[in-house]
This record gives sequence, structure tokens and C-alpha cells, in this order.
Amino acid sequence: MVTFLTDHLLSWIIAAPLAGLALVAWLRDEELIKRVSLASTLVSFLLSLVVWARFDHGREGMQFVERAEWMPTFNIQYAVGVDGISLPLLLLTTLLPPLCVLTSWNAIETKVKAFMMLILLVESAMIVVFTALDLFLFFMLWEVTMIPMYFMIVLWGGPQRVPAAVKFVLFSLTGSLLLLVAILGLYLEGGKTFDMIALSQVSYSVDTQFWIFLALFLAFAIKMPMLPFHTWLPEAHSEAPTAGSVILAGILLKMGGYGFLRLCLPLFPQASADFATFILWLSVAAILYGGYNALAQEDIKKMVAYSSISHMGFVTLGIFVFNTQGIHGAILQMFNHGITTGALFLIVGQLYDRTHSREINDYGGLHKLMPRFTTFLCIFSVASFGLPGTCSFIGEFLVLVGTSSRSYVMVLLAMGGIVLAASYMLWMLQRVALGPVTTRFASSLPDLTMREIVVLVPLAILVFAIGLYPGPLIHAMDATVTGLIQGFDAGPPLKTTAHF
Amino acid sequence: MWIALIPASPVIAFLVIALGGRWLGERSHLIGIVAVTTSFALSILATILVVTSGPIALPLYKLIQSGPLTVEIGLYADGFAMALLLLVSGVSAIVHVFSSRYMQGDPRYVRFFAVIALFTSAMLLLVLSANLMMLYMCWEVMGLCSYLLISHWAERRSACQAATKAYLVNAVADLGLGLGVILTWSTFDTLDIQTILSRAPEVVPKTVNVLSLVGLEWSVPVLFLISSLLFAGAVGKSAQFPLHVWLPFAMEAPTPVSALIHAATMVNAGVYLLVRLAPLYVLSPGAMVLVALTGGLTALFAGIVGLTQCDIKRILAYSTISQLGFMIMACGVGAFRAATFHLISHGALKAYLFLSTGSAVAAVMRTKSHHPAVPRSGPCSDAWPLYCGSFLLALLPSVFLFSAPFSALWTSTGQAPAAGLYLMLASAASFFAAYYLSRLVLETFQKPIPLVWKQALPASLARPRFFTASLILGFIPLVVGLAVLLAFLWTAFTHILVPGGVQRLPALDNLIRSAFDLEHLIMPLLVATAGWGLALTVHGRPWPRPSWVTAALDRLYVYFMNRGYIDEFYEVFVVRPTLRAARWVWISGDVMVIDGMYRAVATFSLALSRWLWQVVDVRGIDRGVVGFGTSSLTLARWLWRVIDVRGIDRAVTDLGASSFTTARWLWKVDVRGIERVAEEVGRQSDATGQRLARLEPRTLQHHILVVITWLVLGLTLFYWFAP
Repeated sequence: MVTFLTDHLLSWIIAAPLAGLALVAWLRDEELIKRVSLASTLVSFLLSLVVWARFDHGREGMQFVERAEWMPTFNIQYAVGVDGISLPLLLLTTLLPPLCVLTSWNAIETKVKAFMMLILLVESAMIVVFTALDLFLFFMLWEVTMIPMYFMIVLWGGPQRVPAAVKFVLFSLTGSLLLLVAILGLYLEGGKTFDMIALSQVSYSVDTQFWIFLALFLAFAIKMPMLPFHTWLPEAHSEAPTAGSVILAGILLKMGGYGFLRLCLPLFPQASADFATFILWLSVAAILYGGYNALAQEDIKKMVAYSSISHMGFVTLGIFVFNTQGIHGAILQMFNHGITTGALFLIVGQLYDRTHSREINDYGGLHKLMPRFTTFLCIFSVASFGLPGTCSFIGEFLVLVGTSSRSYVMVLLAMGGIVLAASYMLWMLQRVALGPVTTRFASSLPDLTMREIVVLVPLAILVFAIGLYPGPLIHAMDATVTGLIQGFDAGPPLKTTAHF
Repeated sequence: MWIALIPASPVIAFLVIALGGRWLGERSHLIGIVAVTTSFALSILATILVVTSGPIALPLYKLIQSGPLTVEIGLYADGFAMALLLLVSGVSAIVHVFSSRYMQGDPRYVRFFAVIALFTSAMLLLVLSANLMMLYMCWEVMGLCSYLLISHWAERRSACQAATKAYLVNAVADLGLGLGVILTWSTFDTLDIQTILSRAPEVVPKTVNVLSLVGLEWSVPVLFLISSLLFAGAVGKSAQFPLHVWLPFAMEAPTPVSALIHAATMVNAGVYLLVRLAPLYVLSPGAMVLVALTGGLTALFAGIVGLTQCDIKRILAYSTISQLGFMIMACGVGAFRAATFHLISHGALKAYLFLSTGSAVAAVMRTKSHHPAVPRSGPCSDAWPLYCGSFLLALLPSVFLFSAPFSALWTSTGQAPAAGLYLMLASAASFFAAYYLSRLVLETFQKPIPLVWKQALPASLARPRFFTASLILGFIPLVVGLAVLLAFLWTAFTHILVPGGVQRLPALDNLIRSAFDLEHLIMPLLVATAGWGLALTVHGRPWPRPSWVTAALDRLYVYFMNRGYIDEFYEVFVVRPTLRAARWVWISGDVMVIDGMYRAVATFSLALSRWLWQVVDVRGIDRGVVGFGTSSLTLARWLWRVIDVRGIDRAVTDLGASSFTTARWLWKVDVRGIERVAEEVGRQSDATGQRLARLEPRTLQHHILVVITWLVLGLTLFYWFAP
């Protein structure tokens, strides 16, 4: 019995939300539905903690691998596994949904059952995406994540929800189409198999690398989102309900970064190296561009959304410098961004629940009315712009150190992005929380309730825990990352300072 | 190991107050006081230990281990760190005691004590940092604490703006510090400060081409770059020109905070950094010149601005900037010990001045005035500590800066003109320092007390008396003790004051040897006394001068009273353009161009599909089909009408009729024609036959025979040879 449980840990993690989904579908009582959803997401989270505890930190390859034939005619398998790259993302993916369920407890008033089912479905699908070893499985669940998000936005979203949802779906579909093309190309070029590990053993010709990399790059760039493909994000994020924004910003965006690390780098080292300079400059541009846009926003959620673009720029920056610090930093940054931005969306959502306004100018002097809210807003704001001692700092610092092996100008510009982040966060804080009480909602702003605090506290603890002791996370990804970058000529060696 | 408790005990206090604040309420200060006093006591013990048995290194844990990058959190305590540790924990303990009364009744009492405890531990950790990265982290945490404390009275819009301004100005400066840390790592492969200092001489010849990105060549020594970048951080934190603008506004913080953070401790972090990395700086003459000039200019500029302000705290803020400029300049000319000495004595004295201002202001505060402006002065009873402190401070820069390492000003850079310039800058600044402090004291206490205050005084005197007592108890011994001890035991203390690395460098040996020398005191003392005396005698009294001088002086006065318009400059040329650029990027870039592009694609697809629907589908295919149908119908109808009814029917009818006619005609033809034709054919045949007979029939037969013969022959030959 115990071995059956431990041998199929990943499947259990995937199955827990699905089981919850089945149970919820059968239940009628709303209170019970919420509890079952919470319980199933928590089970999933606890099991992923078990995975972390049993994870062999010294091993480079996949662990907890499970394989089963699915469609043998096309060599399609149900194959899942975890390595140092997917482990942090697995933890993140199972960490946020319980908080989403909790924060939706009272915020979602209509069609509770459907909403919970969508959360559970999307959680399960995302876990598969981050653990799949079979490209077909990967692609299918990649597609599946889109559908619950669409319905979340369309059914529970803000006033502009329909165009936002349509935009989200159109962009995502374009990306998926390119991903499908790339995967079929890989299937044909790589010996009629969808097995990622087998595919990574094949060496591809330069032309194949170029074209498949290009298709993959576009697909992941839309998901990330990178600079010119980002316009779906501010609308989708700001119109989605709180839980939707959290899942979208906290987890779904990471699928892009994960795709780069899982497919682009190991399969197409040549094409990755060729595209690197372009992608690096694009990332730097995204960091500054997202920062400037965030500075101009009057809508808190849009501001956080634009800041996501800026932060995800650090992820691609770190990935495409092809060295240990950069990739460590990029993975950490994905994890940290999930925590800080997820938390910011949660806390902004809690404010939105009270007033149904996202305009910065509608608020002012909240420190007086909601001191606990202000404390948490302050914590997550400073964490978001990477104050040392908070989690984002470690990720950004590692990325910057990694980037310094390529160019100090990029480092300087990226640091400019951090200054911009400090500016828009503090300015927002100043306008929303500080100053004399000017908000017209003064009467409808009670301080945070116990449940809301329970949602925020774990994230606040993680912010400082990772900021002061990131060792365990870095250690977990170390072996895999070392293996990943072995095939790379990482540009000029790290120690020369003869370039700037 | 117990050394770790020095920074740890305020951290614990912070956690206890922050988490249990609701329960603690106005008892929070007790925990803070106990923790910081513990730190102070332990600092004394540690100092004794360090002085007797040398520096202590205490590695704690690995923060980051990523490839070749290792960041190890650890403490390093040497004499220099100890001196600062005593200052920080001492001032912090006194400020804690002072604030416990000063902040009474404040709605955010708990928050205040939590944050100053966190600040104290961050500063203590910074001083004890063994690692550049750890130093950077503490540096930023202090910045955050400063932000939180400046915005303590968050109802005031000006306080919030000042807080944001302070943080952002420092964030810009920290760009340099952060980049410097990264550059240090890639140069030295380590961030451990002691290792860096010992390896610094090896990297002197290394250069970096800073324009390699654009394909040009401009090589700069890497040490110069590192030093300048790190110095950029110091410029922000220690409020040096041109990034000094945040400090005067930081006076929005409660006065004890100004005493602790914006005068005595945090602003010293920049000077601390320079002194800590002294062995690195002395290897880069360019950076030294940069440091010295920045410091000198700041000292002079802030001194003059200090002359013209009329807010006690603001005068003190500019005085702080000016004194920090002194210290930075002293570092720049290589007089690191003088800088350290001035740092400690200035820290203690400035804290004292701020707290006396605080007790004066507290007395006035009850009468609803939040603005501690000079002309509306405080009660006379508080005059003497302020007097005393001011005078000490007025003399301080001149006495201590130019005492021992006075000769360093000439020798360190080896350039006589430059040394002269530094000397002039320093003398002028110390003259102004003496003048504005005397003016401050005069204007505050010389005038008769306005009636309003007199009425308000009896009720408010209770607390100031407590303050005065605490000040006297805490500071007079501290200040006097430090000053006397340091002044008379200068030569003995010099070995403690500067990190050991410096002593190993032969270049600095000359500077270190210089002892406390009375003859070097004469000129600076004269200058200071002149400023002092001028303020006492001339200030506020008209003196004979031509009108153009008055006009010029007025213009200068207005210029400096507006703080050189530097804030306005930033507002107009940095802040607003950035915000405008952000809006422009968003509206014109994101919404119009990028999103516009996608919208164009969408609009185009929509238009295309509509066109396809309308033109091709509706008009084309549909109409085609309909048209085809219609036309088929028409055709059918036409067929029916024309062909069937009219055509075929008529044709059949016609055919019938015509057949009949034909038949009749045929019969006629038959009878007449055929007979005639047959007759004719017969006749013609007959004629042909006769004509043929008349031709030579043999010729024809002959021809046919020849052809047949050849044919037979050819076939025979073909079959003969073919197989």
C-alpha cells in the first residue's frame, strides 16, 4: 500500500485535484464544495512536499518517473517525472491553488461549484505541464489550461471581461498552434517519438534547429509574455477574478519560462546560442518597458500586470546567458514572482472585494483604516521590487551576476528596471496607503479578516524565508542546471573583465 | 559566538514587537531598550576583546552557492567596526529611552519601536559585515527603515513624499553600489571584504573597455570603476552632492529618528564603506580625487545653504550634509583616521543636538505647531544644552579634521595645487559651519519668547525636563568622554580606528605616522572662531555696503535659501519627464503601437472575414448559387418557352410542315431530278470510259507492276536481313 502510494507520487499529486473535481461535481452544498476543493488542493500540496523531501538533490536526471502506454500507434505515452527545474515550479503550482480557493471563499458569489471545478481542473493540468515527459501530453494539457482560464475570466471577471477573455484565447491559441507545429516537427525530425528524453539525445541539423526553435520561441514568448507579445496580459490579468489573476500570473506565465528550459535549451543548443543576443536585448527592453508602463498605470491590477512583464524579463535574461547563476536566478525568479505577484493580486483582490474599484486614485490613506492591510501591502510591494532580504532580491541578483558575464550594460539597464520597480511600487503605496484619508469608500473598508490574513501569511513567510535562506531551493535545482549548461559555450568566460 | 548577539538582540526585539505589538502597546519600548542596551553592553565587551586579541571573524551560513558564486554571511569585527558599533548601539539606546517618552500617545507607537529596532540591527550588521553582499543587503534594509520612519506621520502628505523621495534617490545611487558589487565579484571571484582588500594590489593593472558595446576603445582601470561605483552608493546614503536632496526632507521623520538615522548612524554608512575599503581606494588615485572633490563641494555648498535656512531641523540637516562632506573629503585625501574620528564625534554630537531640538520642539508641539521653524523659538530653559552642543560642533570639524592628519592633505595626492584647493574648501566650509550653528542658537534663544509660548509653557514643561535630564545623563558623558578620550589618546586610538589592511600599505605609512599636533590646529581654529565671532557680532545688524553688493548678496541669499534650486531641477528634469515618458510609453507605445498592431490584425481579419462573407459569400457564391438557380430557372423557363413551346413545338410543327413540303418537293425532284441525273450520270460514265480507253492503258499497268515488284523485293530483303 505504502509503496503503491510512493511509487506513483506524481500521479497522486495530479489525481488529487481531479478527485476533488469529481467529488465537487457530485456535491450540492456550497460550503462543502469549498471545503472539498480546499482539502484536495492541500493534499496535492502536501504530496508535493513529500516529493521535495524525497528528492535526490545530487541527481541530474528525472526522478519519480512514471510511464504508461497511451496511444502506442503514435508512440504516445503518459510519462511524468520531476527534476531540478520542474521541482520548484511543481511546488509553486501546488502552493497557490489552496490560497486561491481560500480567497474565493466569499468573493465568488455565483456559480461557486463551477468556479471551484475550474480551479481544480486548471491546477491538475498545470501540474501535468510541469511534469510531463511526453511532448504530446505536454501539449494537450498546455491547451487544457487555457479553457478554465477563459471561463474564469468570462464568467466571473470585471466589466471588460469578454474582450479580455477573447484576446487571451486568441493569443494563447496562436501560441499553441506554433507549439503544435514545433512538436510535430520534432516528432518527424526526432525519430517518431514524443518522448522528451529521447528527443534530447538527438542532434538536429542547423536548419531544423532554427525553424523549430523559432516556433517554440514564439509560442513560449507569447505565454511568458515577452515584449511585443504581451498585450493580452494586462487586460486578462486586470479583468480576471482574484483567483484567476493569481493562477494566471503566479503559475501560467511560468509555463513559458519552463518551456525554454525544458525544450529550447536542451534540444536546440545551437539555435539557442544563435538567438541568445537577440533574446537578451529583448528581455532588457521588456524589463524597462514593463517598468515604464507600470509607472503610468492608474489601475492597480494593471500596474501589477505590467510589473509582471518586467519581472519575466529577468527570467528570459537569466535563461539565455547560459550560466549557472543566470539559470538559478531565472528559476528562482519564476518561483519568487509567483509568490510576490500572486500575493499582490491576492491583496489587491481583497481590496477590490470591498469596494469594486481598482483605480489608484479612488484610494488614499488606507493606513488609517486598514493598518494590517497596509502592512501586508508594504511587505509584498517591497518584495516585488526586490528589496534585499526578500525573495526577489536573490533571484534578481543571481540573474544580474549571470548577465555580467555577457554585458555590464545589460546589467545596468536591468538594474534601472529595478529602480523603476521601486518607483512605481512606492508611488502606488504612497497614493493608496499613505497620506490623509481621502478615499470615498472610507465607510466600507474594514481591516483584513482572519481568513484573508491566513491567505497572506504563508506567502509573507516565504518572501522572507527565501530571501534570507534560499539555499534549499538553489540546492534542489543545482545538479540539473549544471547538467543543462554543460553543452553551452557560455559566451566569454565569466572571469574576464575585458569587456563591458 | 556571542558577538552574533550584538545584531541579533535588536532583531529579536523587532520580531517580538512586530508580532506581539498589539498586546504590548505602549510597553513596546521596554523590549527595545533592553535589547539595544544588551547590544551596547556586548559591544563594550567585544571592544575589549578585539583591542586585546585582534580581529574576530565569525562565519554564519552560506546565503548563496551558485556555481562559482558563493556568498557567505559572516561577521567580522575589528577595531574600526567596534568604534562604530559603540556609537550605533550607544546612540540607539539613548534614542530608545528618549523616544519612549517623546512618542507617548502616538497612534503608531508600536510600529515606531519595531522599526527602530530593525534599523539598529541592520546598522550593526552592516558594520560587522564580512561580506560585500551582506553589507549591501543591510544597506538596503536601512533604506527601507528610513522610508518607514520618514513616513511615520503618514497623514502628512509631505512626509509621504519625503519618504518616497528618500528611498528613490537612494535607489538610484544604489544602482552604482549594486553594479560595483557585481563588478567586484567578477574581478575578485569573491565578495569577502578582507580577501578583496588583500588581493586589491594584484588587480591594479587590470583595465576594462567600457565602450566595447559600441565598438569603441576606452579602457579604464577596473579598480577605478569599482571604487567609483561603490562610491556612488555612498554618495546616496551619505547625502553627498548631487544626491543630497533627500536628507533635508527626511526631517519629516520624528525628531528622535532624525537623531538616530539621519544624523548619527545611517548617513555614516557611506563613510563607513569608504573607510572599510580604504586599501582599495588608495590604489585608485582617480577615484580618490573624485571622492575628495565630491566631499569638498558638498561641505561648502551645504554649509552655505545651512546659513540661509530657517527651520531648526533643516539647518541641522544641512549641517549634517556638510559634515559628511568633510568626512568624505578626508577619505578622499587619504585621511581615513580623521574621517573615522570625525564620524564618531559628529555622530554623538549631532544626535545630541537633534535630541535637544526634539525636546525644545516637543514643548512647542502642544501648541499645534508642527513646524519647528527658527523664529518661533522654544523655551529658554532648554537653551544651554543646545548652546553647548552647537559650540562644540562648530569647533569640531576644524579641530578634529585638521588636527592629526593635517599634513595628509598635502602629502596624499602629491599635488600641491589640489591640496591647496582642498584646504580652501575645507576652511571655507568650517567657517560657514561655525557661522550657521551660532546663528541657529542665537536666533532660537536670544529673542524674547512670544506670548503664545509663554502661556503654553507651564503645561508642557514636564516632558522637556525629562528629556533634558536624559540628554544630560546620556550624552554629556558620552560626548565629553569620547571627545576627551579620543583627543588625548589620539595616537593610541589610531591603530584601532582604521581597518588593518591600510597599515600594510607602504603608501599610507606617512599618513599614519602623523600624530596629534597642536601647531596644525591654529589655522582651522582661527577660521572657526572667525565664523563664530562674526555670527555673534555682525549677524542681523546692517553694515555699510554699496547697493550693488546688497543686490548681489540678496540674489545669492535667495539662491541658497532655495537650496540651489536642485530639488526643482530634479523635479523638472528627472521626475516629471520620467512620469511623462512612462505615460507616453504606455499610451503611444503600448496601447497605440503594439496593441494597435494586434488590434489592426484583428480588425483586418474581421474586415477580411466580413468581406469574405459579404463579397465572396453573399455576393459571390450565394449570389452565384442564387444566380445560378435563377438563371437555371430562367433558362428552364426560356427553354420551356423558347425551345420547348416555341422552338421544339414550333419546330416539330414546322418540321411536320416542312417534311410535308419536302416530301412533296422530293417527290417532284424524284420524278424530274433523279431521272434527269441518272440519265446524266450514265452519259458521263460512258464519256469517261471512252476517254480512259483513249489514254494509254499500258502505261498505267506498267506503273502498277513496277510498284508491286519493288514492294515484293523490299519485303523479301527485309525479312531476309531482319531476323
